[in-house]
This record gives sequence, C-alpha cells and structure tokens, in this order.
Amino acid sequence: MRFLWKDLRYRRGRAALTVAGVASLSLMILLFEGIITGMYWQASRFVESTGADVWVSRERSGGVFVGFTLLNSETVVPAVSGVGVVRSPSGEERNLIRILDEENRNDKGVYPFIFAPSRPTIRKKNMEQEVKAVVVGYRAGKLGGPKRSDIARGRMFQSTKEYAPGQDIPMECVVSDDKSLGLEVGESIEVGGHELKVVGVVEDMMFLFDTPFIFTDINVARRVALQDVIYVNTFIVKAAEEDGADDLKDVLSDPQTGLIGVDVHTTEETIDNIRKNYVDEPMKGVRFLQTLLCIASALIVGMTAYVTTFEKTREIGIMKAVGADNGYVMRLILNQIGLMSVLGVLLAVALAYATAVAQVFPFFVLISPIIACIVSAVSLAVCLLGGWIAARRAARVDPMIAFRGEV
Amino acid sequence: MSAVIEGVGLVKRFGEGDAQVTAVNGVDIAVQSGELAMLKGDSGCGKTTLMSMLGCILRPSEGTTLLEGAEVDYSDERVLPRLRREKIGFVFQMFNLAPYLSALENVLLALDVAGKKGAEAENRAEELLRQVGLEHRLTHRPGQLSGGEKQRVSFARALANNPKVIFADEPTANLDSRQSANLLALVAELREQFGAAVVIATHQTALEQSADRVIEMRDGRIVG
Repeated sequence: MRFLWKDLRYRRGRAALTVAGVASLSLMILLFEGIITGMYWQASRFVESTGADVWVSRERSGGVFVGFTLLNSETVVPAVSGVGVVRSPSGEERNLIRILDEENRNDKGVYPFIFAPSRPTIRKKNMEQEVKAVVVGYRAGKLGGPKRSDIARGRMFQSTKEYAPGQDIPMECVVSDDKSLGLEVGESIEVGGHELKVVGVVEDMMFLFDTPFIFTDINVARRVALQDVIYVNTFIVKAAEEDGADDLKDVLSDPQTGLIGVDVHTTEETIDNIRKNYVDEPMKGVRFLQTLLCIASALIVGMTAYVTTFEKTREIGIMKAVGADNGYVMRLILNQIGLMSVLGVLLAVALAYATAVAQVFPFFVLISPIIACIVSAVSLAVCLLGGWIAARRAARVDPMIAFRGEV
Repeated sequence: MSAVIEGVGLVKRFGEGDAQVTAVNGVDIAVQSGELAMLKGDSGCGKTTLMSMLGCILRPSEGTTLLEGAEVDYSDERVLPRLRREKIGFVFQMFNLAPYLSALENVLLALDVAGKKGAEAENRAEELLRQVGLEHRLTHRPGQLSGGEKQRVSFARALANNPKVIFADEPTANLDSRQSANLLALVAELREQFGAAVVIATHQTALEQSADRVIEMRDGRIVG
C-alpha cells in the first residue's frame, strides 16, 4: 500500500481525473436508479395510504391508475356487499368485508373512489397558472385518502352523504404540500370550472413524477372531474381479516358467484400495475442508458489504466527484471484501479445522498442503502473489469525493457 | 572456485528470414563465485543480450544456462522471476529507480517483490544504503540525488535479496570519472563483503584494471 499511495500521489492529476470520472458516471447510474426507486416508493406510498385491500374496476380497463374505468355506484355497492358475504356449509354467514362504521350497519365497507389526472388553475395576484395535479375523491374518514390525523395544517374537507346531482355541497379540498401548487389553507384552486377552497394541507404525499394531489369529497370530485354523473372510477374495499385480501378477491372474481363486468385487484397487484405501466415500461430507456454508463465507466477506468501502464512500461519492466512475477504486477495495477474506483464510487454515493436530501432534482429521488450497495458493487465490478484488461497488458511487459535506454 | 553461473553454447537470434540478426553466437562463459568479470566490447557486440540470457530474462535460441550448477528451465514462466529475485541482482545504465519513491523505498521495493516486508525489510534496506554510503540520503528521491548516488542506490537494490551474481550494464556510462572510480571502489568492497560474483558490461577500457578477468566480445562472440 505504501508504494501504491506514493505512485498515486506522484500521478495525482490522472488519479483525480479517474476518481472524478468514476464518481460522475456512478453518480448518474445511482441517480437514475434513485428516480426509479422514488417512483416505486411514491406509487406504493399513495396506494397503501388509501387503506384499501381490494380494487374493483371496469372489466379489462387496466384499473383506475393505468386505464380508464367508470362504474355505477348504485349497482356496484350492493353487488359487492352481497357477494362479500359467504355462507358456510352449516349456514353460518361470514362477511369478508370490514364494516368501518359499526354504528351504521348500512355502511357496507365498499367505498367509491375517483382518481382523475387534471390541469387545475391557480389564480394569485392577477396571475393565472395552470398546474398538473391529480384529483382524488373519496369519503373522508373511510378509505381512499388522508385521514384527519394526516392533515399537517388546517382541517379535513367536509363530507357529503348521498349522491344527488346539482345539490349544494361544500366545495373544499385538502392539497399536497408542494412547490408547484404553492397553496396554503384559505386559498383556492379552480378545477373543471369549479372553485375549490383549500382547507387543509398534507405532507409527503405525491403521485409519480412528483404530481401533487387535490383530495376532496367523492361528490365534489364527481362534480369537478366527471360532470356530476352517478359514476365513479373504482370501488375500494377493506377486507374483514388482516390477510383476507386474496380470499375477498377470489370470491368477488368467482365466475359462478362473483361480480360480472368488473376486474378485481388486490392492493399489491394494483401497485405492481402502476410500477409496470408508469415506471418499468417508460424507464426502459433509462435502463439502457444505465448500461451505457456502466460500459463508459469500464472504458474510462480501462483507458486510464491502459495509459498509466503504458507510461509505467519501463517501471514495470524493471520490476519484472528484479523478480516481480505476473501476479505481483497485476496485483499492483488492480490495487491502484480498485482504490481509485472505490474512492470514485464512495464519492458518488455521498454526492447522490447529498443531492437527494437537498432535493436539487425536479423528480423525487430516493437512494436506498440497498440500491447504493448494488450500484456500488456493479460500478466497482465494471471498473475492475476495465482495469483487469489493462493489468493483463502490464503483466506482459518484457523485462528486457529495463536494459534499453528509452522505451 | 566453482562457477556460480555458466552459459554453454549460448545463441540468440532476433527476427526471421532475411531480417534475422544473430546477437550472440555460440558463447561459452563461466563466472566464478565472488569473481569480478568485465564484459568488454563495442556497442552492439552482444554484451547486454548475453547478460540478459545469463540473468534469466531472455530465453536463448540455443544453448543452456547453469545457475549454481542447475540448468535454468526457460520454458517455465514461474521459475525465471523466482531465480531473478532470489539469486540475481541487476544494475542498469539508466539507474531505473522509481521517481516517486525515496532511496530507501526503492530498495524496499526489491524486498517487497521477494515478499519481504515490515521492520525487518526496512532495517535491511537502511543497512544496505548505509553500506553504500547513503545513510544521509534515505528519504531523498532519485531527482534529489546525483548520478553517482543513484547508481549506489541501484547497487543497494541489487544486493537487497543476497544475490549470487550481479549483472551491471554500463553502470558508469552516465557518471563522470571521479564518480566512476568511487563506484568501482564500492563494487570491489561490496563484492568482498557479500561474496557475490559481479559481471560488468562496459565499453570503457579504463575500468579493466579493477576486474579479475576481462572478457572481450565482438560480433556476438567471445574473442578474448
């Protein structure tokens, strides 16, 4: 190690450039991975926060997040509620759906849900700005969105009970705490030609690509996103038992006794669908870019190592003349490359964490320790591969070179 | 005295066909233990090629080399480096010291190659540099040393692993006459002290008087 450090210090300019090269490429690989992981996290975070176990959507629609689905709330709720009650051979009834309101047994535990990507308008100080957001309609206190305890500032929007077109309903909403919306309690936002008053703000709740949410009552969402029709996008259901999602799905999807004209997905499947459609498919290009970056890392390290070994040809020849075998020479070169690569990768990990925490990118970036470890290992492996090719050349240096006046 | 190294019918050809050159042509040579042999001849007469073959660096086209009576197996890639680090030392015309290492570290490098590390190696390197009169230059880099001092470091490095024979290729070519004389005096002293045979290749006739034997080469053959 003593000779290695001395050599690196002697050639510090090249060593610094190599470390910087490895660091920037590894940083890019890490950040791309961080963006993908961030999107995975955002998808899981929102879908899991709804509290639903099962999602009922129009047959072959792809589900509420991926495709377009409309269901009639008057027919679906009784149908799901009915199917969700199974009878054992002894005649005993077992409800597979959790009743969230024990005082109100008419509350069937099947809740309408609207998820509508939209372009609302914010008006502030004579400025009008169209923004990107997702309108989420649900019944407050049930399933589908933030609970009262999730509100960071302000309060929860008021709930309405039954659907009645044109009825007078409180046009209120709770919004994500987000820079692009920039809304605070008391301000308002126009969605679908209707003014919504912001009554509360939730933190850490964004959809993919950092899209903010506008949470509102299901009937308000019907009005602003679906022209006040009786339809909603989907129905979400809570299973009676902790691990009852699959049983509930099986019963609701049963071709003999289940629902007709709908698809039923568990929350896990719903998250998978979002990941596949919003992240994995569009990110294929990013994955390809990551592969190119890996190759570029190997080339940078390999070329630097090659140039260095070329420059050190005489030195290596002398070492071999005084008795160094091929293994010694290869170890020497690989140790140098390994050290520079480790420094580069560590620098990349530190920078990736720092930039992710500082949120300097337009996307949410999540660098998990596992991802950092995997990317570091892959980066190191490709760097060592590039270095190994150069080290093999070094090992082939003819010791006769030591006797010659110049290389 | 017994021959520490012996070349029998050594031939070295470079190139092929019409471009083939025979650098060493049927040389028989034996160097006795503790002997100081001077290999004399004009540039290009084959001195360095002969030393490279005897020093287990270059594989002869024909002939064999015996090191301490045992035939050198040039076909085994692992044997040659081991022989070079255990039994042979080299001193080069251009000094060939690592520019980023101090005098002490340049000697330590030769010990490191032979797997000798730690305080023992450090003591050994310091002792060798003291014996070549450089105890005050241990931490100096080659760039901070004179030509004569660099060559002393080279000799200390060559002696690091107690070689049986040292091959020195034009060791005084880059030194002035005073430095050359000092170096030769040192070589004579070290030879006495370490008992290693020394083969010096040179075309400087002034060095002949220091040698036990002068071997003259011309056109790849020993002529005297």
